[in-house]
Amino acid sequence: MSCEGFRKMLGDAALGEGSPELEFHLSGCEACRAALAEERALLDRIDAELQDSLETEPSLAFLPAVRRRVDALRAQGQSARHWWLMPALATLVGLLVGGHFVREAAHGPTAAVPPAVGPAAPTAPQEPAVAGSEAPVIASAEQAEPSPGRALTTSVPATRPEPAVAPSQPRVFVPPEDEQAVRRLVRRLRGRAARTSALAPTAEGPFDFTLKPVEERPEVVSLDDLMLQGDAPGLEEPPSYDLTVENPGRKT
Amino acid sequence: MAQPVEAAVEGLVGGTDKVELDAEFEEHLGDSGTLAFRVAYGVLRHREDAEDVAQEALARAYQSFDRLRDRARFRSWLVRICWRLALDHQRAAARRARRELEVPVLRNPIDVEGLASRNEFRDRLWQAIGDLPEKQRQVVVLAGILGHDLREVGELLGVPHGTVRSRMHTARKRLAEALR
Repeated sequence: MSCEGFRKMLGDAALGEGSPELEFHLSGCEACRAALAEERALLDRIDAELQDSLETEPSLAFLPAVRRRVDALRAQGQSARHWWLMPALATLVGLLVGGHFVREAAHGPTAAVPPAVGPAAPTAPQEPAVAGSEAPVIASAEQAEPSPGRALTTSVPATRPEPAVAPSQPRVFVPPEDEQAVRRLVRRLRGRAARTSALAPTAEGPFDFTLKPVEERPEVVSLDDLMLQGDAPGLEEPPSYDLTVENPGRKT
Repeated sequence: MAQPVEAAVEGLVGGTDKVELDAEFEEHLGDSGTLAFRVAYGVLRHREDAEDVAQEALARAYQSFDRLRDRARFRSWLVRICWRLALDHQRAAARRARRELEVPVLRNPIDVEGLASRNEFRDRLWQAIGDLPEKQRQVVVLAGILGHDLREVGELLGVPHGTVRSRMHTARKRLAEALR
């Protein structure tokens, strides 16, 4: 084989794939050895140039920019994962506000109601009342103690034209352990009624306060909400009472 | 104070794993940010473009990090993302006909003639690399980045060492022919 033939094999030889024939030829051909050395130098230069040009560093701003980008993505991801938070918070706020109004309704026209006047006429003498309001007057103190298992109703005179709580408005549930305190509240209201009943006549007729046992004990409003905490000694599993306030004067 | 609150909220919504993932990604970011840049640079030969592409690759890696089962393969995964994005960027740039070639900053000052010669060689080299088939090009660039450690190149690409050697051999032969 001539030098021209061996030269075609120098590329492979420079990459470490020589043959015995080429090795034998190279041992006796200085020109081909020089060509092989040139080929190896070229490969070395390629490798060095490649490595040199790729050993470059990013700018100092690169990693901080990447971190800012990742932080932005993280924030986006969190808001996407917490998409339910806003509706949930809105619902929670709605419930709190609604609960506040329910409680206000249960307390009745506390601040706005002037003292009631005139004797109250009991509409259901066998059923003493429980009042959620401090304003109305209860006609009969003897009717304060309800019989467990029965709905008790009494009447008090209205103190203003508008009803304290319409019959259709939310009811207040009294937990069993608070029953005694509720009874005390009733007595207090009756005491107040006794003191104020002669001050003014009622225009709309009496309010009805109904105390009804309930099957289950709902965790809606505790007596703490009625500001009577610590006023209730324990009783033996009394029934829960469903306190409603009605104004029969508004009934048709 | 914000961090504990955030962590607590994350915990409430099952985000504890996410917090750990973020910490793990942060470690990878420190280790592999430069690799991503160099891979992109090996394709694009333009520093700003390479940084943009590497940043995009790392952002995508972050977004999909929780789906990466074998975290030990992060570098390999990142290299592939970065390589693909860099190629896309290069093609888009070519379509816009505004591709630029960076004039490298030399570490050691040399004479003007030598600089011109070196730049010419470098330009021809990268032109030749750009003409290689993609798999060979990938091997050449990664070998250049990793100091010609073909075993690590094989690990990054997820191909056998012998395959990497074969591709590298063929690629160097082609490059030598192009530059001879």
